Amino acid sequence: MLLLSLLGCFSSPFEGTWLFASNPEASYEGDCAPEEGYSATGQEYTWVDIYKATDGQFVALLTEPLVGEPDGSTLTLNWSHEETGDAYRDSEKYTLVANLKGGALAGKFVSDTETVSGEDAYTCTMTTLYTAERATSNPDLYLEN
Amino acid sequence: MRSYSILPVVRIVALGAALMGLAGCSSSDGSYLVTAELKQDSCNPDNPAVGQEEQILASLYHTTDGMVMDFSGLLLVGDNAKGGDFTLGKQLGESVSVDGCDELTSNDVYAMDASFTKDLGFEGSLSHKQDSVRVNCPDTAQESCEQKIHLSAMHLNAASSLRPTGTVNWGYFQGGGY
Repeated sequence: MLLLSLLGCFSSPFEGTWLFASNPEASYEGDCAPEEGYSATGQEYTWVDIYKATDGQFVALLTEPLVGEPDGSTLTLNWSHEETGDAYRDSEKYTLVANLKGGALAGKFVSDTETVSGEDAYTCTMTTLYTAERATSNPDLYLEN
Repeated sequence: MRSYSILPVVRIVALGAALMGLAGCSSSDGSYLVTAELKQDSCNPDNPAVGQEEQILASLYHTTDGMVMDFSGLLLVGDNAKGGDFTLGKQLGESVSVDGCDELTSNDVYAMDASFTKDLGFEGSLSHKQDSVRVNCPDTAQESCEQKIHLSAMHLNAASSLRPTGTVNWGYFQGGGY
């Protein structure tokens, strides 16, 4: 195991490529609730790469890079963006919470969106639950070069 | 008392581990050039691609829980191969219930059955079933169709493996709801 660790197959508890299996039936708050009676089944799969930066912070690459630090066996990562103009304000915030247990991850992904334009306002908070299994292949072999 | 060095053993273990590391910790992991032939398409009866071959890039990973085939973003998941045979799949469905009428607006099921070949490739089939079901409705109905694809793949050098990125650019599945 030590040798595998040195080779990068299991470099740290959170680092590596993870297969996220998320519940397609997210929960919504705000103005984005799906129509009444809607349900979804199955699972959505996606790859998420998690790196450890030289300053000790962790970076998860989703559609945007989420950055944060672990607290025990829980890793909380954030990304936010805000644009403001004379009559509008757009803000987006992503939060990924990852609890490490038995070599697997479980947690939630939360996206907060708020758009204000004049007197119109739109808010949406979407929470998606997921579990993740680690790719045991060396992720470096699969990165584009 | 004579002492024995464990260094040779460590070297052998390290060499084995290094080889596993270079190969992605499993000899079947890595990228594949897949030749896919659309054998049947009841979803698009006039599909001119039936009988045609298309080459795509796919990558195989192992996880702590099984294995994953990544067809340029279409991820099919399953257990580890047994005796060289493996089955991967994915299901995703959406339904809407209005006044007790359950309408399954879409249900996509991908199922792949394949076997590794002696030349480190794999051969098998992939099916994509799409169902549309209305139950407890005044106009209860069920429609389903299926695309069947034959797969033949050769393994690419692990050192040059690339993980497919972006979305599926696979003509067969355009509009397939993955």
